[in-house]
Amino acid sequence: MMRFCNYCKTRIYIVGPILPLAIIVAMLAGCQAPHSDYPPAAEQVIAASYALDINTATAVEFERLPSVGAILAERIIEFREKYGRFRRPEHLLMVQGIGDARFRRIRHLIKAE
Amino acid sequence: MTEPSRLTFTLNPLAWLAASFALGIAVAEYLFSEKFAIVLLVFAALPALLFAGRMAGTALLLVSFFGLGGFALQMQKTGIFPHRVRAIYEKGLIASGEPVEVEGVINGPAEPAFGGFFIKLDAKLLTYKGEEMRVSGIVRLFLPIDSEEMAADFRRLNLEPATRIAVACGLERASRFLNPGVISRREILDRQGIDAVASVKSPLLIEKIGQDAGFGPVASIYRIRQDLIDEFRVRLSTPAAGMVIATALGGRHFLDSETANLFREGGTFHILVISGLHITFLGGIAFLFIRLLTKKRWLQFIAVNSFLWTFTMVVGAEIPAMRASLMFTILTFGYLIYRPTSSLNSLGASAIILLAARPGDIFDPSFQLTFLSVAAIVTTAFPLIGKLREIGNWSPTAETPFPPRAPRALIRFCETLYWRERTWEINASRQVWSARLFKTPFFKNPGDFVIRRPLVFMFEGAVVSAIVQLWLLPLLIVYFHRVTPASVVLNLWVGPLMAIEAATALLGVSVAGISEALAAPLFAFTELVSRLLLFAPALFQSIDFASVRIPVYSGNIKVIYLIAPAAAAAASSIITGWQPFALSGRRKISLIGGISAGIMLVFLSGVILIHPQSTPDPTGQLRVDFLDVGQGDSALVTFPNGETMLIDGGGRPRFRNGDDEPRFEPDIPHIGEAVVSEFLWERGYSRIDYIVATHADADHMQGLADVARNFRIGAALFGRMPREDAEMAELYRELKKRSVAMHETASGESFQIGGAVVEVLNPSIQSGEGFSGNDDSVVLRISFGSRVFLFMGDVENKAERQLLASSKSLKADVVKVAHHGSRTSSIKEFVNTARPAYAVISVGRHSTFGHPHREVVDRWSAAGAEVMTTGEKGTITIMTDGQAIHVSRYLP
Repeated sequence: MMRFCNYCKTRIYIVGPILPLAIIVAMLAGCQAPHSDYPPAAEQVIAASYALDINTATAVEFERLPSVGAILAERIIEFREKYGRFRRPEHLLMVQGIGDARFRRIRHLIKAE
Repeated sequence: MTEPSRLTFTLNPLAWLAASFALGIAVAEYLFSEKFAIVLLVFAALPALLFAGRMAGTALLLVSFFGLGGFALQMQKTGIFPHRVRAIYEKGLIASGEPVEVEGVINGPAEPAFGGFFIKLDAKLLTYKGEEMRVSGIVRLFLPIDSEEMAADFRRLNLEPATRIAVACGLERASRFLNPGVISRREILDRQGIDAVASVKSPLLIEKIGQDAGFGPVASIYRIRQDLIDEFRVRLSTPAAGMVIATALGGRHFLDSETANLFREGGTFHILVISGLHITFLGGIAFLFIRLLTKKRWLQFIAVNSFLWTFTMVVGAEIPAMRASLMFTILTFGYLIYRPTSSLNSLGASAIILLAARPGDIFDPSFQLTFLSVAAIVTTAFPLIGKLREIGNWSPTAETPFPPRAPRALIRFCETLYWRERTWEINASRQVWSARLFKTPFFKNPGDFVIRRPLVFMFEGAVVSAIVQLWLLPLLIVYFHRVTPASVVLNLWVGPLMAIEAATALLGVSVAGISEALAAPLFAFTELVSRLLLFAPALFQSIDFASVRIPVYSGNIKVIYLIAPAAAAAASSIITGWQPFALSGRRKISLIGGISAGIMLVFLSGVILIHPQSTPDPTGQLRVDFLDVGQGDSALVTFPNGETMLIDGGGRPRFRNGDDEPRFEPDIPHIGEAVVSEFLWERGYSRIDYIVATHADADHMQGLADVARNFRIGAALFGRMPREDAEMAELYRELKKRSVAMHETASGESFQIGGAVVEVLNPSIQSGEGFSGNDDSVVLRISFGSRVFLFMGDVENKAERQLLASSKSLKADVVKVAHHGSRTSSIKEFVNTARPAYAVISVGRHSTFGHPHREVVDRWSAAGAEVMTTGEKGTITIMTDGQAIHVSRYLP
């Protein structure tokens, strides 16, 4: 172990905490990923008054939605019969065949009462 | 010197208590009942108090700890409350994969992964079919990010720890890949404390309910970690970023498959996981630094340990990291209270604490590996190195007046490494006496720092590495089926370079905050180090020397895996007992003991490595195992004379976007490696006589490439061999490298193996190197005695019609249904012609394609067959002696 003179000890006590602090500050500065493009506050998806109530709609009415065909409509009805009503319109995503992209295309046309 | 008190039994009491406790847990798993454990505990503990101070008391104390271990295990088992998520799924109240809504509190930071991130939820409420249940337990959710909108939604949600959310998802707790000998996913999740998992389709399914009181500063540290991960991924190449993120930040999900396998084959994968090595290294550096700042021991203790525990929490608080931190804390506590620490005692103390908290951990491979390797280092490697140092450094002192008694060559070797002439001259000049020492090193060291220290580092590192490998040999074979002789050298290369790489990468990121220009050379240096690092394992891998795959014994011989560590322990106690400076003549006993322990160790290791007679004996019966490889095919045929044929090896399709973009391949175990090879090793095989590649689909052929790498193959049979196909090219390359005979078969060929006849029914003779479609799949008809097996590959209706039109007999007893039960195959006429007693469909539990189609299953049932799927039942084994058929399933 190296022997420090008293003078050096003072230097260590001053430099010692500053150096790691400086590194941490630099790391924080360096890691500021551009957070500037945060999207604005949550867009309210206001379904129009003609929105389809997915808890009461029939297969034919589902088919009228864009991107929804006969098989998918059938599956939605089966799902609803098996697992009960949809608490939120987003829960339509649980049906096999409705993914994120497809749902976003129809989300403004549906509601869940 | 005072006579040692009669109370002294051992210098490491905690180690003995820990061993007894652990033994109690281990035995209790197989033998005990709860009552027995309590009885043992009570009836041993009380008399132990009475006999305190005598040998009997010590023995009874050990027995009572034994009982305590058993009791602890029982407590853990009965501690699964009925409203645990795990219990709900195991009781079948909800089937795995069914849509539910789970509400809970986010537990810990989001763990970034490729393509998304993981969060752990402390589940509180579970809603199924409108019914709400109060639950407890941890579920792990994967949230994929496939588009910018999804990313924006996640940012808006801001899923910080202690946020309360409700998620609609399909929780899963079933096991896939249920094959005998293969560890199930459920067990792995249980060890991590996770009750169920799910993948959440979209951030829109997550509803934020509230924010529980969180811990402010901790959240910002997690954010720093997340930002560091993002920075590394942007600035470094994929392999370098993966390695640095894994080593420095504990993020395992960015390692690409190739790099990870390089490390595995070199036996250095433990460097990529936050484990004892990292904690010790970091703790050591932090300790050295703190000592410069303050002399007060309690300040040092608090500073180092808070830093270490913060680091452990930030990198995910995985159990292995916490174990290492606990051990380090206990060791430094000894330093704090001015007590010389016996490492073995500290090890024992941490073992008792960890096992008391989670007794089930003793069956956890990670726990066993950690403790055994530390025990190996502490009991064998360090004492050995210490003794060698003493021999090399010997100068006359009061304790060691005479030179060491050891073989001449050994003394010369130690003196070459450790003898420092200058130090001796300085010391000798201070004494009142004078002496001449005749040291005979192999060569005189010109430079202490340049030659001697690196040499010493390499030698000591190699010794530690080799001893740890020897101690861990049975574990490595049973869990990983891999022995890596190269790791002795590679660890020395990879370890320090990895530390340098991580340090420069971190430095680069910090400097980048100040100046980009300064950071660039740092990152370039990081890349250079990374490439240098990977050079050595790649070299070993290319000369195929790095690692050897070894199967395991099954049955009663398995006890050899327990005897080997006992032999290692005996050898190590001999080493500790070796006194080169002892004056009296205890040498004879030590020498004989040492040599016999050494011989036994070598013999046992040899038996384990060469594994003679590990394959099962030929039974005279034909046996077919249809493996559960999820979506895919793999069947092992064992002929009456013991020869084996593997038809297809399963696999996962790799989604390639064209040939231009090398897509990141995450480090997910290949099915051929983790399921098929594992199954074969557990059966004791290291050689497969025949492999049949029915056609070039990833879910049939990918596994065969792994099998070709891991086993000796006798011959390979193909239908068509389109060399341009990626999967086929890889298999072809592996087989060519090992000079395996490759044979293109076509309809009409037949051969005999051990009394059974194998006929090829498809593809038809006009072959060529064209595209190998499903209809060109190899169809095999294996008959033994009066029983017939049909393996249909992936043929579709066209090929089935062709087969019907041909004159071959298609009546069978067992049919492996074509194309995973898809409606493109199994046409009515074919089903009615085959009329098997059993129809086996090789398909996963939940197939994305909807296999097996309901009408196909009905068709086969209507023809009188019992339809079984591997996804439901696990491995399906069918044996016949030519007359009778016997069917067994992994899941009854």
